[in-house]
Amino acid sequence: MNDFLAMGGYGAYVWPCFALAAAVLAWNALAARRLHERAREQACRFGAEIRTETPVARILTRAGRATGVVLENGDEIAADVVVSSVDPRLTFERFLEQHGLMSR
Amino acid sequence: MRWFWYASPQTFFPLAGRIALWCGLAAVPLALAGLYVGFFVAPTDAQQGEAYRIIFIHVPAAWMSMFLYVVMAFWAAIGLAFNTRLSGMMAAAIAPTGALFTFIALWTGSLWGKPTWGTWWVWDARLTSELILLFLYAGVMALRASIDDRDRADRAAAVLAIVGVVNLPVIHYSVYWWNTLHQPATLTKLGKPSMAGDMLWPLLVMLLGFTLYFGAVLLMRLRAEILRRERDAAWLRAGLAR
Repeated sequence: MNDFLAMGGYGAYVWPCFALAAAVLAWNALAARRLHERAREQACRFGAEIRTETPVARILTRAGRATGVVLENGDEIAADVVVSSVDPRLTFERFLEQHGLMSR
Repeated sequence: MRWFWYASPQTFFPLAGRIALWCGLAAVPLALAGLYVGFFVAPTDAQQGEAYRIIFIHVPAAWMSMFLYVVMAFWAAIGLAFNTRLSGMMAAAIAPTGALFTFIALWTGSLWGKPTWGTWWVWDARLTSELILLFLYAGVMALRASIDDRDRADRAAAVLAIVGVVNLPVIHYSVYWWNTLHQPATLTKLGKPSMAGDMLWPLLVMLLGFTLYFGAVLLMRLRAEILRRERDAAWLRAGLAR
């Protein structure tokens, strides 16, 4: 074993070569893996989808709070927050009318 | 054959994941087998003693450093010519691994040079051109990182990568063109190898292991790159939701 580690007197040259190569290659593989995981997490967390030509039929509410929207094609999209960029009158009368939130 | 089918990130993404796994699983036993034969079966060198065993890292790493540059420049050229989305990502995913292999080749070369040539470093044509290769990799990565617009970054990095290809024949032929301290090629003479078979074949096993390792890491980085660039795409969101 000691003979093997000594590498005929060249151990000080041979082993750093193999050690560094192993360390660098392992680090690179782990870095690639971490990169992949982080990208995946971010894609899940921050991803946004922009739908054009997709009219909203109404805003869904539960207990007085917005919980999502229904599209005119019938798809429902759940959301914690609904931001409406049309004016308040349209927002409340057209999209929320059925929920009686305007009668004040 | 639909050549551009897999040029789309959408079709390539799941395939890349499967290939990466298999490449990684194959690379580890190959590298271990190469190391085992390299240390326990290959005989001691008559002139260099045990120091020559550095070759089992040095030559595959040096070969990979050049091979990866060719692959990177190839994808860069494809990206410029056909404007395929995946090509720029491919080139971006190759560069870090290529730079690391170049670094390993230089490091092991230095540690091999000291006991056999009596010096850690000389400004020899082979050594200098390999160092330039490291700078080229670093340049391509830095240039890409310094431009925010992804398409423009891809194009700029691609042009630099393609121009840098001129360095590859210089590295390869440096040992013939100039009077270098570095020995001439070992691997290009497979027909009439200048090594004993017991020394040659662990070298080739290590090379295969490194190549598969590269495949695995490249595809992992590529998937990360696809996730970053296409995370708003409907196909990706549908895939992630599953």
